[in-house]
Amino acid sequence: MRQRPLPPEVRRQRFLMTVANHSMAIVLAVVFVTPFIFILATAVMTRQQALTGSFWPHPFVWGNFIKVFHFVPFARYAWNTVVYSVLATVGTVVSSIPVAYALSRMSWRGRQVAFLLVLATLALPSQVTIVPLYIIFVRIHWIGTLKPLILPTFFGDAFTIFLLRQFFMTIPEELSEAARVDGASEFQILTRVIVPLAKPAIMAVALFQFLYSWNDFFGPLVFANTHTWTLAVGLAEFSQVIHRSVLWNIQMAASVLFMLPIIILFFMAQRAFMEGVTLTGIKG
Amino acid sequence: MARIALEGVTKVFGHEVIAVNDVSIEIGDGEFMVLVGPSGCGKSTILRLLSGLDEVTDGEIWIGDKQVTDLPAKERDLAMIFQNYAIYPHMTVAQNIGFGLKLRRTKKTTIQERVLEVAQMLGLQEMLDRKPATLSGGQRQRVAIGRAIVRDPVAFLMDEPLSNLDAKLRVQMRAELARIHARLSRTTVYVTHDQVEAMTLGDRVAVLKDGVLQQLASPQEVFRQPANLFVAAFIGSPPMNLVEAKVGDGDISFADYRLPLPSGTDLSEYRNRSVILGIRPSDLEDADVWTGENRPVIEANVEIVEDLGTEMNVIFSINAPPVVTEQTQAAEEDASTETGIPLIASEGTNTFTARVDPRCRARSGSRVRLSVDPDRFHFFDPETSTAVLSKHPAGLAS
Repeated sequence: MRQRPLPPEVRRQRFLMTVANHSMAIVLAVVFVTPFIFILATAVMTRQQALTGSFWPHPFVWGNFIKVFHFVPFARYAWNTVVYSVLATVGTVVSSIPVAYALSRMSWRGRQVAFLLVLATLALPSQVTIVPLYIIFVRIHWIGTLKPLILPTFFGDAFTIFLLRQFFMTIPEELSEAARVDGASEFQILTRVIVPLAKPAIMAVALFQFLYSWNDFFGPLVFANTHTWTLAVGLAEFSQVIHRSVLWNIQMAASVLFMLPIIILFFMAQRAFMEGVTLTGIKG
Repeated sequence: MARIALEGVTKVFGHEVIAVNDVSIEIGDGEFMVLVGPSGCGKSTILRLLSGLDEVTDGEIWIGDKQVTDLPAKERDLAMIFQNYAIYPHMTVAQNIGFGLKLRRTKKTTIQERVLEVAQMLGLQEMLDRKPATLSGGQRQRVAIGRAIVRDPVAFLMDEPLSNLDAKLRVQMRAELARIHARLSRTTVYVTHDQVEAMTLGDRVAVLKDGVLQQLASPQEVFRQPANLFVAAFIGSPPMNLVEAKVGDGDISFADYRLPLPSGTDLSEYRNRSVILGIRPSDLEDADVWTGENRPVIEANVEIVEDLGTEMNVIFSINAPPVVTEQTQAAEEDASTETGIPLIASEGTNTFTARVDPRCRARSGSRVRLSVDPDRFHFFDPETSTAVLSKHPAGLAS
């Protein structure tokens, strides 16, 4: 069947709309991608070229990625980062789920107060707590290890608790009640009904925590030492120590290696991540 | 298998809201008990108290020979069916049905057998691997029913299980529930505001209003001998016609009519005083169609005729004010909002409905002659709203 030809003015209008929309999207994409391309390009330049204004690498120095490992103990930093990020993520999720459950789906005296207390900790900037925390960790000889970064995550995270609580509250109460009458204990209701249903929210908070730990600079800088530094701190090394001048090409190569796992993770968990963003209205 | 008993059960929410007020009901082993009443009458709360989802404020609950008042829900071995199905969206049909068994650490093979058995009984065997999102409302409700019966609990609690289904499916599922009950003969407590469900399913019906038990009797008795004005106005569709009438010497008069008192009725206590007279629409019949014994006749101007095919509703107004008491209002509110019965009564006039044979020739605007059966009159005290039991026991059987 032949389609009815559109009136020319409608067609022109639609064409202009499409052009406008795409131009907007392209401009935004360029704005976001340019720094990334700049990093990638610099990562494969020679040291001299990195200091010039030319943009295209000439020649391509792929060896920069190997050199990264010569200047700093990159592998050790990477391992520390993985340990910190994975354990902190596990700790945050495992400890926050039961708290969020208790704050959303169980009724007990003082629940509101407890929830407000949890929320109140969000308002405390870390600069306020860092000194007392440091003193505590010095007393128990944890400074220089990753313990001050990892172990506290096993005691719940206010932001995660808040997010999960809000999500748990959207799950119909009847499902819990049906399970209760079916013979489920409170713990079974949590593990067999609520957690499976809250998977998108849990994925989202896990990703947030992983990203946070991976990128965390302040924590490791304060609590860890050169042996237990993570990549985020390690990266900063490049801009200071080597040959009395900054090796931009090597630093960019290190940055690429630093970002790579996150980018891969993002592509793998893109759906869960986007769901999480729309779910919480919060960007990572 | 067990009897269920509520003894003086009271539930107060917060400090003031009395949802259930000193209700005592004994439900026999295998009995189908229907709790019916307008929204907010406490019927669902009673079910939740029975299930253990809510705690009673006062009173005792017994299941079998065990006092379960303070027992948590999971130890009461009851099964509950919810209005919105409450089936787990992340589990397949088979997992949903088998969930209760799995929690009880039943052997895997036994679970499979039982799930299959129940699925066959409910016609779900083709859908065992599907997720609830792909099922229709009726199928979801079947899954919920399957989940309840698979465990072979001591009793079923059903909270308006059919009200989310469309009309046709509701009729079908109603019959199915009756069939399941006949087959399993398990004690069942069924909450509904639909009086057709109450009348057709219940062995006995408990009518509630504002948390207080109004009448507990068989569906027939609730219909034929309502204990008070509320029950009279609430049960029956179209609702009972009510009018304030004056008791004379052997007769009773209201509006422009004077009718004889039924034989064997003693209303001497009310002589020359008012009494509220109730006449079921079905106890009025077109006098031209009526061929039985001679009956008194009233004449009226027809306002509206609703031809339902199998019968006809003739609606007419009479020259008397409507009966408005707190009890009739409570019943009417529910009727108008939930069952969609039109309240055509305009301010100040009392509207009667007659449910007559479809051969009736009445049309709106025409006159109609209606024969009435005084033996089926209901009388209520205008002050207390309770039924005036004035007939001889023999008259009750009619």
